[in-house]
Amino acid sequence: MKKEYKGSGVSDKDWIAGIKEGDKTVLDSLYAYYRDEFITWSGAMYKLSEDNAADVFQDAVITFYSNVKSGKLTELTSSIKTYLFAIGKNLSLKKIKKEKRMVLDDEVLEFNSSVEYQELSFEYTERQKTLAQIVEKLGDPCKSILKLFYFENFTMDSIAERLDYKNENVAKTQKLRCLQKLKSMFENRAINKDDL
Amino acid sequence: MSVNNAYIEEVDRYLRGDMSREERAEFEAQIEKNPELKELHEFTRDTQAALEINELGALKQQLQQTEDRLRKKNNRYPWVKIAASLLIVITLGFVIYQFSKPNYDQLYDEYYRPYPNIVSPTNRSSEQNSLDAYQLLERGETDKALTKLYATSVANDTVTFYLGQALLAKGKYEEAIAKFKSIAPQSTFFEPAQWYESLAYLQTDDQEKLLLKLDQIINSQSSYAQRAKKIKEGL
Repeated sequence: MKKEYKGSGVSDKDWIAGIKEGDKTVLDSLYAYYRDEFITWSGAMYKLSEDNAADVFQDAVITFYSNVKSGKLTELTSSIKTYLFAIGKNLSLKKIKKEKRMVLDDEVLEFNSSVEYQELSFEYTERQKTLAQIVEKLGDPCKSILKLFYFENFTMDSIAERLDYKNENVAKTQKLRCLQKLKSMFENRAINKDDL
Repeated sequence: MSVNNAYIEEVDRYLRGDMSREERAEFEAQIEKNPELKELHEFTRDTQAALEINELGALKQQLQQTEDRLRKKNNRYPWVKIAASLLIVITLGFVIYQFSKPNYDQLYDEYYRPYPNIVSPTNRSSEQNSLDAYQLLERGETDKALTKLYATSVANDTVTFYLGQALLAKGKYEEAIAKFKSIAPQSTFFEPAQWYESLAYLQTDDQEKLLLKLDQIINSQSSYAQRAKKIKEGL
C-alpha cells in the first residue's frame, strides 16, 4: 500500500504514522513541502548558498526521520515544521562555524533548544567507514539481521519472526555469527590494505 | 578473537539504552577493567555506526535526487517568473502614473464657466419662439441653440464663438476647438476663445497642446493670464 503524501490535506499525524511504518516516501514529501521555504529562510538568516542550504535541510529531514523511526521522538510537542526548522537551524550554525566565515549577532548564533531530539553525528571514524563498506558486502541474512537489530532496533523476537527463524535463540546465534564474520572480514581487509 | 556470547547481551542492552543508570555506570566501569568487553563494545558500536552510514547514506541519496528533481522543476519555466514580475512592475507603474496624473477633469470643472450672452441679453418678457440662439444658449437649451446657430446665414466670429461655446457645452470638444481656433486675433472674442480652447484641451487630454496654449495665454497679457497660470500650476 503506497500512500500519496501531498502538501495539503495531510496532517502531521499522517506524516508520523508513515515514518513509523517505514515509508521512505514521507522523506521526499516532507522535503518537497518545506524545501523552498527553508532555503529562503536559511539564506536570509545564515547566508547559506542554495547548495549548502539544501544539504543542511536534507540532513535535518533525515535527523527528524531517524528520531521518529528509532522511537527517540514519540510525542511531538510542536509541529513537524518547527522541528525541521529547529534542527535545520542547529545544523546551519554548525556548518557556518565549521567554515568560520560569518560573524553574526549573538542571538542568531544561539542553538535552538526549544525542541528536543537526538542529533545525528554525520561524522564517522575511518574504522566505521570501512566497516560500512564491508557490511555492504556481507550479503543476507547477515546484512538484514544486523540492520534490523542495530539500526531499526527490532527485538530479536520480531526478527526471528520476520526472517523465519525457529525461535529467538536461533536468531541470536545467527546474529552472533554475523558479527563474527564481519569482524574477520574487517581484520583481513585491514591486513590486505596495510592500514591499521 | 571471537565475539563472546555472554558479553554481547550486555553490550546490546547498553547500546540500545535499555540499562538503568546504575547498570550503565557498572557497565562502563567493567569496560575499563575488561579489555575483551571493551573491544566487543567498541566493535559493536562501530558496526552500529557503519549501518547508520549505509542507511542514512541511502536516504541522503534519495533526498538529493528529490532536490535535483525540484530544482529542475523550479528552473523549467523561469520566463514565467520573469514575465510575471514584469507584469507586476508595469501594472504598478501604470497605477502610479494614473495617480500622479493631474486631474484634468477636476481642473476643467474648476475653471469652466459658460461665457455670458453679451449679444442679446434676455429680458424677462421674451417669449419662447422669439428667443434667438444666444438666449437659448444662455438658458441652457444647447441643442436648440446649436440648430439655430448652424442654420443662420450670418457668418461672423460671434456666431463662431458661440458655436464653440455650444459645442463645448455639448461635450464636442474637438469641434469646439476648431471653432475657437478660427477666431482671429483682432476679434473681441479672441482672448476668451483662446481660453476656452485651452479648457477644451483639458477634456481631450492633449497635454502638449494644453501647455502650449496656456503659455501663450500667460505670455499674452490676456485677462485670462492669471487663471491660465493657476491651471498650469495645478498640473
